[in-house]
Amino acid sequence: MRPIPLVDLRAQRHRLRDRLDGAMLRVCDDANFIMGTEVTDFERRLAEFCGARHALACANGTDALLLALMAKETGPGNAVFCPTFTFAATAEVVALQRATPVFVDVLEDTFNIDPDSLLAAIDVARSIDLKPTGVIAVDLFGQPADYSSLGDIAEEHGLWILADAAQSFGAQYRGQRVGQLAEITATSFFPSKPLGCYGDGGAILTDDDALAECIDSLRIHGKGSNKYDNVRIGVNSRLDAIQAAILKEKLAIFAEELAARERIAQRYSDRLSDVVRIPRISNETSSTWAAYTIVVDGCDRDRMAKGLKESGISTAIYYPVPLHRQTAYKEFPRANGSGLPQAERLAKTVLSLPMYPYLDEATQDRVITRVRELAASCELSS
Amino acid sequence: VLKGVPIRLPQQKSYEFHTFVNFVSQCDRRDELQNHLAGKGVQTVVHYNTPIHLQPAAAAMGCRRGQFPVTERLCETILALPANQTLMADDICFICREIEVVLGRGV
Repeated sequence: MRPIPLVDLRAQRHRLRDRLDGAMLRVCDDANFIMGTEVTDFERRLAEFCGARHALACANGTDALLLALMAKETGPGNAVFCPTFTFAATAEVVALQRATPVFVDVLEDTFNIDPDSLLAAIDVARSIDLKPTGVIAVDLFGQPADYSSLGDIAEEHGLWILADAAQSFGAQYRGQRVGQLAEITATSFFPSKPLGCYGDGGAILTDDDALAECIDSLRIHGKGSNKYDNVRIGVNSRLDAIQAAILKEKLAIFAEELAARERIAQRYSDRLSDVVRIPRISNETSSTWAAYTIVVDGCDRDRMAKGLKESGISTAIYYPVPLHRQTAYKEFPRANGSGLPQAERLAKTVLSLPMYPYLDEATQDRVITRVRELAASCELSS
Repeated sequence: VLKGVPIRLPQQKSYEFHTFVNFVSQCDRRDELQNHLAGKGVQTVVHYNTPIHLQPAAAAMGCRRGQFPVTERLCETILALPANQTLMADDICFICREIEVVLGRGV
């Protein structure tokens, strides 16, 4: 049986081969490899796609978060609230800025930051003399967080919201696209992302002119009128022209790919809801389905993953250890001293299944059949 | 080709081998020379116009003009001339002639 990958980038490559090759060669022939019109043109299209006023490309999604924190002048003494059930980059950038990440639990059904746990974390931060400063809301697996509740809390406590949309560019919340949901949004074009390039890439989206101008300076060594005029301490974080050219071609078919992802996710949910816990998408949001993640709590998750692997089906565990339990982060404060129970439970039970827009029905049926079989057999023996 | 022209070129000692990633000359009438060459289609660059200690980003460190006199003087006199492996002998002669037009040749 042909192996089924978690993400099949070659299927898209096959579809776009001529266009992508043309785009890459165009950049090589122009010999303009850093920034330039390919990048500004891509930024314009990216902003148009999501309805943000400014899109600023940078080297990767982590830098997008870092640049946002630098622009907000986050520093020592500031508490920045992050969900603990996320990739390390979310909290890493806070610590790099010498601010303090304060970990917050997530909601059991959407996997996103829990507003009640956030309120508890704000109290914890105040109790240890940190200034509550901002929230990094992660749109996990492609579904936007609860920006309405977060917005109310942010307003009450004077916090900014940075949307960590590394997985959710293209998703919507209450009729608005990701990119318009927070003051600043950071996204990633890592190859396996719904909109991915052929290497590292990222972008910041904002409607705020002053923030956009500041980030444009920060990403090029704190430049002023030119790059040999240094008005602030910045970093070197630009998107390669060749990646911008690739992304332009992919953006042209992105809406269609998002629809395919939605169809595939729906098909999984229709056929698996009676044997495992399927992802819940609130009726106010749409997801990009960067990952289709089930919760296996009726039987042994690791045995199910092993069984699928034996049938040639790739899966992934996003994420096996919540950040507050990681060696590098366990000393940072958290909403609840004894632990963050939802995240800890999810880390033991989540399993992400193959998901990409070119997953055909016959291949998906192989996954579905095997998950159903394993759910039945693991249950009996566990 | 530039012998006798009042421009200082990088010197390579017998025990050095330079990549010449930048071929940096020095002369007193740098801006005039750069403008003239630009008018003739010859691209040159100044790395760097402003030393780090005089950049706005370094203001908080309390640096002042005159603190690093050699660096400050170099920022006013340096000019990187075209230098790469695809440059032909004719190109080099053309550039040198135009440099001489501006700076003249001593006796």
